[in-house]
Amino acid sequence: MSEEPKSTQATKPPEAGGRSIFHRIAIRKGVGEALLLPILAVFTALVLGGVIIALSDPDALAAWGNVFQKPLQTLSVTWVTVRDAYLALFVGAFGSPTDIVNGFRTWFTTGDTRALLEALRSFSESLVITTPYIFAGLAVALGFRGGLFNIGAEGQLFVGGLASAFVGYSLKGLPWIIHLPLALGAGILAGAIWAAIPGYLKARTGAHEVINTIMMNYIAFRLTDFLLTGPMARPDGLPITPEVLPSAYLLALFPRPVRLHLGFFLALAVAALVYWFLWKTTKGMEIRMAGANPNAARYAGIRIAATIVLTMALSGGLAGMAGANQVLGVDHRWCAPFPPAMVSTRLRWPCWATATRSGWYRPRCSLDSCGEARRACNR
Amino acid sequence: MPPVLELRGITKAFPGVLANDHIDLTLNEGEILALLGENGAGKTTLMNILYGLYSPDAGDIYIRGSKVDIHNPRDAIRFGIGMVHQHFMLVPVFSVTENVMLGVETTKAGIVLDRETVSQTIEEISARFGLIVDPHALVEDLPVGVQQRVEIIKVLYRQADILILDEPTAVLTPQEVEEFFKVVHSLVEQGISVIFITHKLKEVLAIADRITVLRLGRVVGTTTPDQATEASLANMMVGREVILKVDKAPAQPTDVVLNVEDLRVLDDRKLVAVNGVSFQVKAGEVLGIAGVQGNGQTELVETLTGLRKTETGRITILDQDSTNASPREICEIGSAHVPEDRQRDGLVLPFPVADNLVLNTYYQPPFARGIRLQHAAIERVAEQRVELFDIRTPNISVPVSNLSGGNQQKVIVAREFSRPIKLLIASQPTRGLDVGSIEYIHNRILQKRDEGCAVLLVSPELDEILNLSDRIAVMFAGQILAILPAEQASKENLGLLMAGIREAVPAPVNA
Repeated sequence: MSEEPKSTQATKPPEAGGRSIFHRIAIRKGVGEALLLPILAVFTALVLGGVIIALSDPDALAAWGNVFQKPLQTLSVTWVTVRDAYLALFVGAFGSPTDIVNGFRTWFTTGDTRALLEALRSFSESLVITTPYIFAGLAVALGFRGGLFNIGAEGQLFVGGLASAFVGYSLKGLPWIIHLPLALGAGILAGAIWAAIPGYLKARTGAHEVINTIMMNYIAFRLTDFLLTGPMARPDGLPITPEVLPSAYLLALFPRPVRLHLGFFLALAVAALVYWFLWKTTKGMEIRMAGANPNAARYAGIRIAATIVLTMALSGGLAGMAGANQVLGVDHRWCAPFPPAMVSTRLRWPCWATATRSGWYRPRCSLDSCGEARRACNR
Repeated sequence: MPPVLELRGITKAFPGVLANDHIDLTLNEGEILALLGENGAGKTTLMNILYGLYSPDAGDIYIRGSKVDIHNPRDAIRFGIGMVHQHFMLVPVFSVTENVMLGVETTKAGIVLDRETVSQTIEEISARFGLIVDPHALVEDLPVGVQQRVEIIKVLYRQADILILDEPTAVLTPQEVEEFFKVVHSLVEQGISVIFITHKLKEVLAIADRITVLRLGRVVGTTTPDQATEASLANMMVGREVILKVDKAPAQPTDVVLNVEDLRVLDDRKLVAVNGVSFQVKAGEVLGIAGVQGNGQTELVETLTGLRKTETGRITILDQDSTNASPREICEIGSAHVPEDRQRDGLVLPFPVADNLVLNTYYQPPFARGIRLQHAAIERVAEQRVELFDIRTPNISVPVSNLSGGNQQKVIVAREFSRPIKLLIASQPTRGLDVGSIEYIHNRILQKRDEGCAVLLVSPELDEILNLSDRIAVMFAGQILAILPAEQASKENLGLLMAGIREAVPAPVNA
């Protein structure tokens, strides 16, 4: 009789709390249902995207003008348009399967790897672009587990990148094994401090972290402006840090043009580490407890204020790693942020405003007013 | 004339449990039908089916003789069924009028809210049923008892003539309960039929015309207050002999464990909540603190357990100065705390049962080695405790929120009682529990006492205080008016003391 679901709980699935990820999802929904939602989400996105693709293609639109006369032809033209677009998307993200197979064949027969590397480039770029998102996503996820909305991953990423760049170019003559951890550590520490400040304000005064982390973003942007035009300015006057020394690079694992670097694997390792920390350690349990029910956490002897500061610092450290990763693995320098008018103040998932060579920033760049610096940076 | 409401063969299964098993129920016009059963007996499920929140797997509902289908609460309201939930569904910052009209707004010219008309209707309903309430007051300013009247007015405003009250007295003080009973009587006199869900035996006997008892999803029987006694109802509910009065040996108090001297504490609004309180609790005795809720008991317990700062005064636990010690320090001295609000303070509801069983010892061996949690050890101990304390749960990995109230409380009791404790501070340990669980927890508390633990029991329920305590302190307006040995205490003199009448006791014994 005690197993009877209570009235309010029977209507919605209980929140997860089991041991392993699989276990928790299974408890919450059952395996099938757990997979169903993401699959449906992707499917819906593809369908809606297909509508937009069809609407923006002149041939498809023209065909729809004759839909009553030639319905089959209309559908086939639309289908081809949408299919080609998605194939291009797939090839852009993962590379062309035939090119990859041919690349391997050339390598085995002639020993020449250039064709293979060129074929793998797309997939490598996808992973390179994914990497900072993994770090920043972990930052936000860890904060959420502790009941904190770290909206300021962007600012933490900025100071993290800046600190990594500084250590990367200013310390000279160090071996790789020392220089890289120092540069990486500087980025983590800067991000951690940047997030710990709103954490402390929350713990001490109750000031809400959403507001304070967003405000810290602006401070981070202006601080970057100030440093890049003042104390850290280059002789040529561009608002860019000097080049990071190769001894601080996150190793490129393959020859060019494949840019996949150590940072991606570091991100995967850190994801595993965050999981282990949250679910397998006492501190992780304290963070989750404080996030799920601060009253009960206090009752159980947990110091809430200290836990809030720790959670924010760890979250900020992860965001700082995203910045460090960009500097040490991809750009090897840090650029000034875009002008204030470009910064949106919405609540959002971690996104950022770095101008990078990988080009994720290009649409915004074209609107940029400090064009010269931007072009130099995007070179 | 057919009955107002008739349920025939209602059946509802949830995964792994048959919540309602062919339930037949009849409600006649103008009667108060009490639906009695333990937590988890299926009362709430049945009422949710009636209110259209669940659909039954089988069975029919008849209203005034004709079969109806109820798919959602709107249907239920259309058929004149109104429900007052245990947890109120009111918007605190809205006025009474606004809360009542929410969802069925009366408007002028289709867009402007017509508060005046609604206020007038509310005043008419108030006058007719004796539900006194100011339509213009903000709900957040009203005491709980008055908020409940607003809920009832909401239902009457929607012209319900079948009223379902889900555990209506759980949140009320004894005085408010009496007021509430008067209201229910006046509702019935006006032709409203009432289903009263509860697990409190005394209330059932006091107010019901007929009593239907559920157990394990089935109707055990229907009786009337004339034919039933508390004991017979308890037996029907639990399915076995229940001892309502706990047998206990005389206390054998030894050393002082908890010593409180001239304690002064402020509440959240910085007003004095505990004002110069002094008492001692010795090993092997139960000191009960009686009093109407809100007379400083909550703040007193919070201060003793480290959750609230002491203003002045001194707390000593086992000869250690514990004034303003942290909850963890107090816990490590050997003090256990069963908190007043188990879901707010005592449990992390989304966490599994296992984690909740080690909520304040997770960092100690064997549950942790360094910073690493030892899940194997936690699970092993959790299995043992579930077994030992008879916690009804499918397994130790389900979130504790899935458990019934009584089993949630058992999780807390299992956690706190399994530690080597010297002091037990239990605040309303059986709040909202059914007789079976109450009996169990009372026996456990006395068992701790007999093992030489000092017990401080805080409860607004006089029966509980009288049943368990060896000495009884009465708190009123932040002060302890008197501390009586249990044999000198009666419901009458404690009741007067709880109302602040110090003269009630001829010779107050100070301990």
